[in-house]
Amino acid sequence: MHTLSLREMTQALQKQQLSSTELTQHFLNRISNAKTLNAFITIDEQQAMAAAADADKILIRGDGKPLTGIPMAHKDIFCTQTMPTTCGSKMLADFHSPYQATIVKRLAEQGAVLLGKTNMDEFAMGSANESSYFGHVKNPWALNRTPGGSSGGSASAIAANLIPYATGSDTGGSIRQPAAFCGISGLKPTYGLASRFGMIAFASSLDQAGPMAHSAEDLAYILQAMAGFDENDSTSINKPLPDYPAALNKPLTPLRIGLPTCFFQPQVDSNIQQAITDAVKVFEQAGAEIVELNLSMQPLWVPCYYVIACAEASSNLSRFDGIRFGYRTPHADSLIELITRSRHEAFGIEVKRRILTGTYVLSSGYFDDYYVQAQKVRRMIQNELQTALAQVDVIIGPTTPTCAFKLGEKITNPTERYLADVFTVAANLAGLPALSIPVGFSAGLPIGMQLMGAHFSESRLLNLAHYYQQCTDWHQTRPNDERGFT
Amino acid sequence: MSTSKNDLKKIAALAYIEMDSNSTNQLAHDVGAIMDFVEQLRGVNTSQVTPLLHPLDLEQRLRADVVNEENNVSQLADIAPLFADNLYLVPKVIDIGK
Amino acid sequence: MSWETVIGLEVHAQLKTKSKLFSAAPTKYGAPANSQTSFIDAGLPGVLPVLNREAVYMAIKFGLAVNAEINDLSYFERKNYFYPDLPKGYQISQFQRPIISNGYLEINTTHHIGKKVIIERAHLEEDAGKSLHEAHPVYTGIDLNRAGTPLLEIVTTPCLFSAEETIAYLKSLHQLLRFLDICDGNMQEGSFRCDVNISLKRKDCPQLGTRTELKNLNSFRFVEKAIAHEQLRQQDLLEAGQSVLQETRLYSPATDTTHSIRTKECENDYRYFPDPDLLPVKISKNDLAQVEMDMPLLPNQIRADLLTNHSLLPEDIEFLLSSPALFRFFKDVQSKTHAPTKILINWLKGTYSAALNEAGMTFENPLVSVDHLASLLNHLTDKTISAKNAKAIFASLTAGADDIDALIASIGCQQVDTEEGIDEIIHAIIANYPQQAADYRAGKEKLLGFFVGQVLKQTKGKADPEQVNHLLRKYLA
Repeated sequence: MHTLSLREMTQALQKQQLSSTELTQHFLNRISNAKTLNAFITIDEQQAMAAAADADKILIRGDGKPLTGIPMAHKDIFCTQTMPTTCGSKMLADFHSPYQATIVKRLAEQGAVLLGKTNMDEFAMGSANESSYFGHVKNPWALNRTPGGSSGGSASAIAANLIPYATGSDTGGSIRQPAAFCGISGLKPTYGLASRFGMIAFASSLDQAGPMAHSAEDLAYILQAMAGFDENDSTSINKPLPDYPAALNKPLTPLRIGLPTCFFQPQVDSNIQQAITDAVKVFEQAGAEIVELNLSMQPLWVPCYYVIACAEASSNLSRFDGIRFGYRTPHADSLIELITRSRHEAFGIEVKRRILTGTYVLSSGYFDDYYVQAQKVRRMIQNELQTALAQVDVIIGPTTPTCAFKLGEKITNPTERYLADVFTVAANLAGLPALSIPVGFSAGLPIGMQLMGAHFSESRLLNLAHYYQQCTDWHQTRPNDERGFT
Repeated sequence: MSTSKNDLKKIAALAYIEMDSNSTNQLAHDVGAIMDFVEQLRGVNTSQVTPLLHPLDLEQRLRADVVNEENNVSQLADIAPLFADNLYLVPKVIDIGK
Repeated sequence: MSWETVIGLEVHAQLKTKSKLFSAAPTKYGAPANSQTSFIDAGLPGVLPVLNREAVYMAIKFGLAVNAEINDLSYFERKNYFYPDLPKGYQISQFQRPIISNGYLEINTTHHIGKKVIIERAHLEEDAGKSLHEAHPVYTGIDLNRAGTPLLEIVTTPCLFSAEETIAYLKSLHQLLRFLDICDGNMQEGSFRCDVNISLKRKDCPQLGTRTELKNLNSFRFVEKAIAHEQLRQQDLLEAGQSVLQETRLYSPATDTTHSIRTKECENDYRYFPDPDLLPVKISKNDLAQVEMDMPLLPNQIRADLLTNHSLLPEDIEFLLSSPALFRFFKDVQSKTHAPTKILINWLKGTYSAALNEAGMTFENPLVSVDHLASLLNHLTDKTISAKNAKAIFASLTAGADDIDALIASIGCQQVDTEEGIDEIIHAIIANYPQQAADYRAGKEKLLGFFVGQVLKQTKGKADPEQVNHLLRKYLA
């Protein structure tokens, strides 16, 4: 049951060959046998079964939509009213949001069956899911390795077939990088396509919500349900959505693929480079033209991203002060103690690093040289990418320079880990859509390939990814779970 | 450029995060490393460039002036750490008029 | 040694929108604590701001009224600091690109007619909540109802040189905002807050001295007193060779002194940066045209118009301009009466205002309707009733009597003058209408008019309305 694609599940449910109740119970069983992965922060079996029963009623009536009755999970960054929303942090460990995120509402309206909330790096800050207050998540392909972050829980759960799909969030690669590490597919949409209302903010001008699943086809259906204008989000785009599933099987139009030379530097694992080259050949065989790109701004992507992300985060996290919600220190005699101690006791070290860095770059005397400068560099980065995307239809490269890191690796310099985001942050800086799909293995660990396109080119990206997934079967490979994940 | 402990204490004060001596050392080192890493941005010639505030070139939408909210006080009370008589409670603030 | 006082003003005017600047919660004053606090106002995780169109239009109205530049592109920035009444840990405000800049307001003082006070900028920002220090023995209570209410912060250059100029400007500004219908100007409720920045310098010195900021000035009188006190304090310091500290000082009306609360700006680095949750505000020619169409008459225009009537004194004109509701009422009555304007004004200034004062009311809820007053004044002008009678009829009207024609008809006929006769009639009527009597006693004051009417009907209009009024109040007490 858990190896069915989303479309197959939908068909089976709508033909009543399968019920949502059976499907949900099946996945709940798998989840309870995979506790070692620690992919979930909250599971609510009762709610899930009740939602499945409701979905079954709808399906029997013949009113089912593509996602009706299909079990799923939300990354614990999305506010849900029926389960806690912790954001992977002690600060919100007991937080029960009185409202729900727009994308939670939209998927619920589609009849999605919510099983629980997935584990994540604290406040979405991290690339290894090692900073969660609720413990680190394991990669089902190798239990001594990270699944990536910050949407590590979602990626791990999907890869291990504990759920067919989940939502994630992506600020600098947090959907794509774990998708790559776990051998699944994940999409960060164009900035503004998916509503941020109810998605706990990390860096507001970079954050986007997106789907994670086994294939581009699955992603198309989920994106269709999630995306679209939301009047509660001022940065939400008011444009009608195209039909993403319908665009999947359109024939490949004459295609120009941009391959940036900087994506193939020596720092990139040689097996990864080979896998990308092989993957690109699939498109070449269909008549695609390859254009070599020189993205001279690339070395500045990561530093530019960190200045902006930390600056925005330092402000977004100021609301956590122990007064209206969340953690409050039990011992404080003055107001200052209440706020400073609550934040000290409830924020993890990575969050503190970024808040302090962000405060620094916004502070008087540094603001122009760092923050404003970074915003100017950001424009230069966007200009260069948009110029490139005028010459080519899609920019392709590895999602990450290496495969999944080992768990518990000692890091002396925090910026070492930041370089894991080297290929992914550009899409966030420029607001461009980008997805990652599996294209092979290196020593048993999955390799992800990134496709990045112009604003609002999701249909094209999904179409290309789908084409590739018709010609190959990397996306259908699953980790060996005969020994289970217990 | 390294971040001295004094610098870090000032930033921590602005960010309202309490520091003990361990965290001060660790974070001074870490923030210093990050600042060193981003230093390379300063070498870029941006004299002809305007800052990019949003990835897409859009304008703020305006909302009609209509009241559309109910009294949420019981929901706010439910999630508040300390709340009584419809008020959030904090240690007494001695002064600071605004 | 002659010292020159230099003053710049920051006024925070609460805009009269129905909902908040970034959320759809109501803005009414005086609601139970935290009953008008939306999740957005409370700064819950994941919430986002959406901008109120009316607040933008009100800001534009102000800009047009003070001949300012309406910046077609402005944006919001975050002012970051921690305080319990600031839920997000930052205030959404405007810093580098305000919506309005470079306007002016003309004021008149004894030394200078038509002085232009330069308004450097006016920008939109959200208000904070309230800290209630007396709410609880051990804790401070925080009420976020006010959090998110739209404010227009209006800043002058340091171009005022005396308390007199300051008050003249504040009063003109206060009047302008009320006539624009963008702010109710209620200083007790905090809808119009003045902060004074004041410094001293030697007369011929081009450089400004160190300034202090004075806050907690809830009336024009307090502004005057605080300035006087601060001038002296700074002068004493400077003459003793000491320097003035740049700080914020609170005025205390009880002691008529100011005391320091914090050193301004030195401790707080607000780390302003553009708010990434909001997009740049673009004002189109259409928006401007729409607001221009909606512009009400401004005090200056009204004044110029009234001055063409040479029978009016300056005090008369200023009286009419003391409240927009009063002015509207005046215009409405004026359009329905052929009585001379001067007579109308005298009635409004005298008898009508006295009645309002006694009832504790204002022209927002007129005691006597436009039509009634107009009719009364017409009869007076046509000499069908005397001034004394007019006052008596007015008294009945304020008590709620409705039939002005009956009241007028009763004049001149023989009055039923035995108090006993009237007494019986009144008692009988009260007995006949027990429900209305009970309601009146329970507080429905307007029902007095009903009874007056009944008595007049019974007496075929012959009773003296003033007496009827008096007796009814006595027996219905």
